[in-house]
Amino acid sequence: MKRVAAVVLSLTLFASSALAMAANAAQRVPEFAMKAVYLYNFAQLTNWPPRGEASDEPFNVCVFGGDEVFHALEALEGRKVNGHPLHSLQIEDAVAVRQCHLLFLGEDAGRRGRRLLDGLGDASILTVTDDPSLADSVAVSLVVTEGKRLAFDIKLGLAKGRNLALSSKLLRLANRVIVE
Amino acid sequence: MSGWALWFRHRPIPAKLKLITHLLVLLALLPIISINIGYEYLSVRDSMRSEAEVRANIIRENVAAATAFGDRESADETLSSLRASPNVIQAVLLLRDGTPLARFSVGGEPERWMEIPNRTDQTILGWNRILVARSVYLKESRVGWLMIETSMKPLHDRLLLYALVSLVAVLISIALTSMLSRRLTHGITTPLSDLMDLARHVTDHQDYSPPLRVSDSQDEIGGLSRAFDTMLAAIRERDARLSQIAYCDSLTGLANRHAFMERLQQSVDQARRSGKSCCLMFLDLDHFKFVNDTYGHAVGDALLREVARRLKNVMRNDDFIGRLGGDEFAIIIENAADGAGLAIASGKLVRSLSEPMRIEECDVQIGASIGFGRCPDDADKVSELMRMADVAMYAAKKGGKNRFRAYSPDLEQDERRS
Repeated sequence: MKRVAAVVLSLTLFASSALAMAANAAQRVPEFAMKAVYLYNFAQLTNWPPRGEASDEPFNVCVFGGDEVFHALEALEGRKVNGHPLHSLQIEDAVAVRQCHLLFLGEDAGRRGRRLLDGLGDASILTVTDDPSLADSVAVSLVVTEGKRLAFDIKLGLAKGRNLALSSKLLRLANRVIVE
Repeated sequence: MSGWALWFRHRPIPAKLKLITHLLVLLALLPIISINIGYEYLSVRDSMRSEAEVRANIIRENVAAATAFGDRESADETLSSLRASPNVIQAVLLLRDGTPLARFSVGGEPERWMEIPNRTDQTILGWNRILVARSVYLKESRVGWLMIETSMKPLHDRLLLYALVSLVAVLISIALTSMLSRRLTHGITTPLSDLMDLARHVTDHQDYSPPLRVSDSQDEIGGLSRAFDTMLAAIRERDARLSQIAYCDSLTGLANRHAFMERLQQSVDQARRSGKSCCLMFLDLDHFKFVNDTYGHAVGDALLREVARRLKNVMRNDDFIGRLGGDEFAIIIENAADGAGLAIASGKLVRSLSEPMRIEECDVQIGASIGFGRCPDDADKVSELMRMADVAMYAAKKGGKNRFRAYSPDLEQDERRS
């Protein structure tokens, strides 16, 4: 009986959501733009250890191997993150990575991306990726759920190791939180 | 005068007093109650308002991150915590571009919103709803828009309860003042209605005797009561004076004709009833006209007074003497059974009146002719008796004056003959 009800319910839900999706398809936000917004939100909900920077110094969001996300981030240029204007930049090597607050490794990062990560040491940089192969070595990894929704997993141990404090609000919204 | 004023005028005093006290109670309580209800309304409304605002602020804090990430599930979850607040009707969370992210409504179905405000933080107070609209911020950046609508039903329930309690309080006060005013009214109206009854009694029974009860209180009612008493006393005094004027001959102090006739009727009635006899004696002065014409009216009047004095001297105390007019006097002698006694009395009278009198430096001598008839021996009607006494008196006058005659039927024949 319950099963029948569930089937009926899911059928109606499917029908209505299919209609809604058709209606929303035109104005649907592109995935990379959404990822850029997510990066901005992560920055908002994370506390960095004080570095003694002046407030007009930028908050650097570095992108490696994700051109589309980088371009999408340009739309958020200048927005305040903890009082500092957001600035996005593409980096190519481990030297440039030192100035980053947040490092996004795109799907194209590949092996070079892993090398970049290895060279970070314990620098206070929030690492984010959407490359499943790098997921186990970054603090926040973007995933797409079964419901085609963009979600994220958090490895709390990695964040703590870099002296980053993630807001409980962020943790609550995470798809998975791995404490170790 | 308006209808109400007229109506009020014709109410009895207790009803008037009762109405006035009730009106006073209402007048005193009405401002207090309205001020209390107004104050209660404002303070409860303000506390509900701030409660709703605090609630909205908490929700917007909790929902901020989910809004930023567009996380519908989490936002729904946060909004559904509103279920714990019983007065929340509905809530909606909009993204920056206006698309709804999450909704909550207590009945499941979304209701019509009280109004859709522009996108500024505000609280709108309606008659039965409060709408709180707040921006949702993640850090400094605005990520969404939250509206929560709360019912004002508890406020109305509370006001209703308050009004009911006030009504009960008013009823109790009216009942208490009713009891109090009944006692008060009793103290005021009972003496008044007593006085009214007394006035009716006086009017109906012409009874001017002093009332048994006179209120001894020092207030207006006591004063009215005493004034009424004084008025009755004045009426009694006037009546006494009037009856003296009506029954007394002012010159001699003897009974006048009217009083004498009343008394004669009584005596005749009594004689007829009890079988005891009475005698009517007519007495006419001889030469009075001469004295009056010679010495003047003043001497004539003094003479009449002297005659009255002598008559009183000679007669017994229970004989009734009256002056019928001019120089005519009459006497009723009760229990006059035997003619001999009457003859003696008549002789005494004739002698006494023929003795000279000194009146205002004048020596005057007159005489008297007396005739009498007896009841019931001669007649048992007043008119008959009067006529017989008159006949007897004329017979005495004719017989040479200064003498007396008892009535006998022969006298009538003599008169007819002459």
